[in-house]
Amino acid sequence: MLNNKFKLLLPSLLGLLFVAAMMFALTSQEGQVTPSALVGKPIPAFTASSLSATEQFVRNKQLGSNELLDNSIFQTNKSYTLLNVWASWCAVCQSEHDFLMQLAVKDGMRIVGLNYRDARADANRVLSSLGNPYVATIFDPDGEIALDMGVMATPETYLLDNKGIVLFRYSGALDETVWQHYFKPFMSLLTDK
Amino acid sequence: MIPEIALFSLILGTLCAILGAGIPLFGIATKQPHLSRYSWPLSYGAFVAVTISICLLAYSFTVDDFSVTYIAQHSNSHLPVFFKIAAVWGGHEGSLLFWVFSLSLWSAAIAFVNRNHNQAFISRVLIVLSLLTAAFGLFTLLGSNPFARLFPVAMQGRDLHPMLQDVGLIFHPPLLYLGYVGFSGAFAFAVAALTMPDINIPWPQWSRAWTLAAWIMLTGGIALGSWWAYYELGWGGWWFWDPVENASLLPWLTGTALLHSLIASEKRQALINWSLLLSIFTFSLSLLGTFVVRSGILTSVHAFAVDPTRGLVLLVILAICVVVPLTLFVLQSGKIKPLQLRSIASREVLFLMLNSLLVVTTLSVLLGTFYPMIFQVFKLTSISVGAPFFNAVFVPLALLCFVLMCIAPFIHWQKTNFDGLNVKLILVWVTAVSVGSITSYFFNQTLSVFVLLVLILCAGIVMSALFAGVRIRHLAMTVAHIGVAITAVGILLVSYNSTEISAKMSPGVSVELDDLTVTYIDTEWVVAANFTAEQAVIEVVDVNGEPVQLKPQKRHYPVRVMNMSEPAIYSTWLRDIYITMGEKIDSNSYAVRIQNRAFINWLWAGSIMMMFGGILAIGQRYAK
Amino acid sequence: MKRLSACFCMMAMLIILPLSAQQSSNSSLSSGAPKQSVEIFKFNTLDKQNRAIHLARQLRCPQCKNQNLMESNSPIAKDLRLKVYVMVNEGKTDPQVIDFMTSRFGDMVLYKPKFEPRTYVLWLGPLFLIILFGWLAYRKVTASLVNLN
Repeated sequence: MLNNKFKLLLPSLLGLLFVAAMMFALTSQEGQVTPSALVGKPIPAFTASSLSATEQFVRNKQLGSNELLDNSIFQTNKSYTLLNVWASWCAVCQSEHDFLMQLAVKDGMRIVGLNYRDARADANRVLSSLGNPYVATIFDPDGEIALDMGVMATPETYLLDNKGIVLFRYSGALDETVWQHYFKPFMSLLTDK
Repeated sequence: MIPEIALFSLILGTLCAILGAGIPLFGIATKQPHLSRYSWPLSYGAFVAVTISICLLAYSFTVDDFSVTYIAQHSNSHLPVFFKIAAVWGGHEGSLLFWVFSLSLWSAAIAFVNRNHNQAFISRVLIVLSLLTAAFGLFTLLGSNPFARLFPVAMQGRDLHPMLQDVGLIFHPPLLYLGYVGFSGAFAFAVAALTMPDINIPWPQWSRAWTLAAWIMLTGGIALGSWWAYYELGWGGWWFWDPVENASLLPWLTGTALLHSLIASEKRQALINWSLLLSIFTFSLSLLGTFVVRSGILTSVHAFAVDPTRGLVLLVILAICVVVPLTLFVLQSGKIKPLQLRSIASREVLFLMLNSLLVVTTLSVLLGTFYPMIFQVFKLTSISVGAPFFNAVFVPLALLCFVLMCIAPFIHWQKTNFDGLNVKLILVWVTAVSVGSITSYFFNQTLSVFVLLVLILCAGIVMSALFAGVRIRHLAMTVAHIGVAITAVGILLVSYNSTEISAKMSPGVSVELDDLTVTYIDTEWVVAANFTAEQAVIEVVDVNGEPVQLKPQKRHYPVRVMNMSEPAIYSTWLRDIYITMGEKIDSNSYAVRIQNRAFINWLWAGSIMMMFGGILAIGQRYAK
Repeated sequence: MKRLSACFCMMAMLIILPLSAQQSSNSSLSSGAPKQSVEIFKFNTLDKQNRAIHLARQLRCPQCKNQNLMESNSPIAKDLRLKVYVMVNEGKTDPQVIDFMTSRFGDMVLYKPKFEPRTYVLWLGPLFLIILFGWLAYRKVTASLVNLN
């Protein structure tokens, strides 16, 4: 008796389960952030010129100490560093620029820029007209450094701790909502140290 | 004005569908069987109304009525006329209207052809179909209205996506939808049969013609989609195991099983349970496919850009279409006549094995397609499941099916007559091995054992079909199975024998690929109605000395600001010469990619042969 | 979010194409040689070319909607395709190339899932299904034969 009733209800139960699973899948898709493969690891070693260096000096290897950059830029006595991947041709990057300026100037965030597949002149022009939120900008015209980091598109922002270990990566433009939702939780953890 | 008439017509059609289900249902509930005859006029009425609706939409496209949002989003006044008509099904709303149209078309056709059969039964079939038409009609009217007005009126449309501006688009979606929807016929027959289990109704016989028709359309739709991808996308691929493609393959696999199962059910009252379940699941898989494409639940290059809420409605319809018939099935399971076998070497067992293989294949593809989504839901690190998995799973299962196809012509119903069979079988295998080896020797450049084995197997299918005696009543099977073998050979050799070369070319430069000499002659500029292009003039000469000219293009579409690379193809039976223009390297040279796609046209020819076999099968049914 | 990503991809595609032609002369400190065009890459042997193409087909473009490295023309796909070509040409093995990609972009960049505990169901599922259906069919057939006798 019970066995028959169960068999009768089985399709309905399975159907309900299926619908619930699909609905859950649909709703869980919103707001997905692809985690970086580097989380918990340092940024891969690199050497590059800073954006502000002149091309001729680069070729002649006549660079000042603050124009030759490598991983040590991420070692800091501040609790955290942001690494922002951007380019002058990327319109979405320009939409987040004001927010980056606010972070750098008002909140005192230490932001390092990674200029991706760009031309020096164009990138410098953007910084001089919109403002420069970066303490330093790594110049990566061939995208080699970005490739090593697993950068998928621009803009992307990485949150690093004071030793240069990657804590989090966000793909997309930064704004207040994103900042509060994704980055702020890390901040409170860090400042407690 | 016209869009409003069209909208009204759609409302009318949906109303007919609602009444077409409601009145007969009321008749069943209140024991007034004479009410069932209303199914017919209401089905015809729904069909006429919805047809008027979709025709008026097409008309509005051709007169550039950009006051309708849908038309403004998918058309442009510079678009050639046949693309304007094709744009009717180029977006979500229009394609849903096409679904409603297809449903009403099949309902009317089934109503007409079966008008003299058991009225009580056919009325129930039409009730199911009317319910489906009503559901989709309501969904279209309430959630995806193609006739919504745009205010302020757009001066110019957004243009049809350049990738869709192709002759393949004109036929691929309609064929596909007709195929998907066509399986609603088999579905309706099965559900109706489940509601009348005590009466001996020859429903498999009636269902088979509609299943065949749907299967033919779906085969055509899938093949056309592959062909379109092949010549449009530029890298010569024709199947990508993309979730949306898999979604169309799944009902095709179960539909093929259903086709065969219905033969057994019709002739021997065997495999009835299989026929019922396959009918239910094939249509459900069609619905699942539609859901997948429109909800955004799986990442795909094909997906319509729609929001998840629309997907939810389809999900609910899908759930009802699975749960209700399955519950009925469980209720009636004791009343189905059990399988009676006299011998293992019988066609019934063969079909049982085929059904099992096809269902396992379906489930495996389903597993691989949805596996990444499971990971996503449980917030595990995402994985991708692609071609390597699907090929590893699909190919062995397909080859097992081929083995069954080799012996099929010799196996009879109930009990096989073994007289003289040994001799025939030996002849078949000797010929198959010879043919396979010879073809392998001439065409198999990679000297792969796998290629040899598959070629022998395909030769075996052809030889069995021919040696078993080409009887008229087996003609459909022979043609369809040979079609499968030809398609398989095409797939095999295009994967193993194709070669390619990429080179920097400018006027006067020549490269060699296998037996071809390819020379870049010149670069031209082309201006067309809705794009401009740089066109390369390339001459290809093979060992026979006949030169042919190919003109690949790099197109620029100004309205949507998109660039597309349009390949140039020269087709012969043994190969396609496939050339694409790549990057511009400097002021007068381009990176040119030249491919030798071996035996690709056997794929399309084989598919057409399969479809033709299906048509013959329908013809044979009605010749009796 | 997804639409934004599609946006980057498309914009990047439109704008980087003309730019990349000019950039071949700019070399940063991190790379010495000028950038090769992936479309006319020359391999040392035909075997390496086939292996590289086969490998690139198995790797997924991280930013695109379901395309492998040979199918996609987005900048990142081309970069990664070139990296695969260069690595194979240098003599690196398939596992080395795959490892390079997954350590930077995660497992999602592999179209052939690794055979590990969390993919046992995937890889062994079909095998299990065929045994199950085979057994059920066998039972059905033997039961039906017995019936008539």
